Amino acid sequence: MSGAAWLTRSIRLVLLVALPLGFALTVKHFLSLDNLYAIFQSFAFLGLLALGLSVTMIAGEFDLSVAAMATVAGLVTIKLVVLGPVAAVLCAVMVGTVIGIGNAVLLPWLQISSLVTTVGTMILLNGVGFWLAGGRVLSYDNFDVSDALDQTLLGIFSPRSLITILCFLLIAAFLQFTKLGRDIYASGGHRRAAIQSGARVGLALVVCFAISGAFAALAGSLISLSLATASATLDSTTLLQAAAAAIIGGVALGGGIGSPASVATGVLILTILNNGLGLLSASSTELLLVNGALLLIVVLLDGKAGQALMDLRRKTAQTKRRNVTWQG
Amino acid sequence: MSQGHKRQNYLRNLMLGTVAAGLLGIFGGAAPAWAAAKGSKVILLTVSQSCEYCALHERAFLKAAAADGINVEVKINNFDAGQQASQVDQAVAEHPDAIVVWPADASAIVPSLRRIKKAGIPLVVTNSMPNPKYQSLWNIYTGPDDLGNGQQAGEAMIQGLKAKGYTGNTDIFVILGVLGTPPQINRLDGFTGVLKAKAPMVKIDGSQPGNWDQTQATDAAAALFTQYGAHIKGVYAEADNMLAGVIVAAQRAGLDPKTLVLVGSNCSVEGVNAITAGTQYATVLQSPIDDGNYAAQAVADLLDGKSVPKTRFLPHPTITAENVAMCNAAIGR
Repeated sequence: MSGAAWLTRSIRLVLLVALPLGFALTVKHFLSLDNLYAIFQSFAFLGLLALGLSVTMIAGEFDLSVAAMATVAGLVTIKLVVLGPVAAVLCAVMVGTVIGIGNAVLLPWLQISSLVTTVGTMILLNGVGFWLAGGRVLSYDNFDVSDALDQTLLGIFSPRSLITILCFLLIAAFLQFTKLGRDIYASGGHRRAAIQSGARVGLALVVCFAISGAFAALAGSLISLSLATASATLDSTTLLQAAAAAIIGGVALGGGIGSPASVATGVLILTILNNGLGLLSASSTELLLVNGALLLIVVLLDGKAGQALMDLRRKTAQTKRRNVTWQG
Repeated sequence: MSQGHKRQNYLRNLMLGTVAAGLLGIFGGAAPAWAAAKGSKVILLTVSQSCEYCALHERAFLKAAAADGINVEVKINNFDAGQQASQVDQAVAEHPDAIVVWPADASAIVPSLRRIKKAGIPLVVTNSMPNPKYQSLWNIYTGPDDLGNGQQAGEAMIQGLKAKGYTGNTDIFVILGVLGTPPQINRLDGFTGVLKAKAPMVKIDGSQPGNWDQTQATDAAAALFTQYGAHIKGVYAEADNMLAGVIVAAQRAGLDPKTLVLVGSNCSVEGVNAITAGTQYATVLQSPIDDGNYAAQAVADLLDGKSVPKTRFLPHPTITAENVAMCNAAIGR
């Protein structure tokens, strides 16, 4: 592990411990069970989006359509909830998976970056969203599903947050213990070398985008059931939040680096930070500023600034050693 | 009608509206178990600071609440229903004496209102009323009546067309707010309902979303002026800032806005300026200051155990060049 990588990893771990500790000491109610439940509720939505997105990032690609996919999946779910909530969620996830696969299939065919293809898909999905909503907010009156999904389990969890945690575990096992998982890392690290060494790059990309689409759809589907509502408009910062969480967690934009554990770390850091600042009455503008500053610091430390810092530290240590030797 | 007479009408409407809402609504009733307003802790869950109306509402609320000795904690989100649901979870965890919520989405807020009700925390909903069939979930609603706002705009359009001599078949178009949001839906329903009932000869040729944004409204109006041109005799924009875009688009299309019947809503600074300049015919008053004050008054009364009406709508008088000063006074400019 390089010096800079060690530095940023340490900073992430410190943040994950220091943030809750700092808020616990300064903010009343932060450690209450109800507030920890609120933290995991936020984790449930952002975590799923960031997890799916990070799998494409590990493979050296980027799926810009995840937020739009979540919106469309929410609308599909509420439209089809008459079939039963489970069937509606499955249909929405199926739509997400198919669109994700479509994104991957377009890549070799069009020979262009996934940023371009998925921005096209994102705009298309925005249009589909407005078409499905028909200028209205879709809602349904049965709140039993919402109550069931968001009921408190073990004090701080809900079925929705446990579903997200389960997805993290499944993807961690998939990436760690399967050949296809290793092919995904190889595709993101050195694509040409991966192809030459026989890695199934095409299949890896299809699986990555399918996971990304499916998880975005699952996130949108579950939040729409939780709110008993879906609309064609989603907060424009959702995609940025998911990408920020993945990057803060340590997933490299260049591919090949990152894991579900690191994504979970990034999501938790952002969620705890926003929760604590929320208890301190921070406005949405201040939250955005702090999130942006944190992301910038992590990116800088991941890059040349971190390397320069480590070089400076090494040189200072060498100079001190020389001085000790000379004085001796 | 004189300005003094209009002001009297405004005050009369205000009183009548309040009394009528009180008689029709279910009274909040006394709440002896709740904390008194003075020294209580109230959480205000509100929306974007980048919207002028929202910022004025929040400022008025805080000022009025401070005068009543209420300690307010504010949580703001950017019209994001999901984030607001998390903020409600967080607010419930803090066990405040009362919660005041401006729903980011009047439908998506319902499960959160259920959580607040379950936690036994007194609740005031402000600005956007969820479906009234869920009214058992909140103690008091204060804020605009968007349906009534749209109806007033419809009346103003009919009055303006008559004043400018446009009788018989008349063509107009409409610039809408963000599609699917309650004010967009209800104002349009109110406007079209009045036209249908009272002026069936007035035809809405088309509509485009301006998304509460002047620039987008300019583009949308430009497209509709190109499509329908000189046939258009009037435009209704669901907010004054969007109507300012309509005026720019009309001038670019070679039309004199003064010959058109242009009706907006909200009484924002763009509307006041345009009415004063004679380019806008009318607007419908919706004061953010009153909106914030009503919510603060409601939560104070609720905590003090006073009998308060379940629903208290803001007055929505029509504003034209004759009574535009009323607009200035109500918005505090």
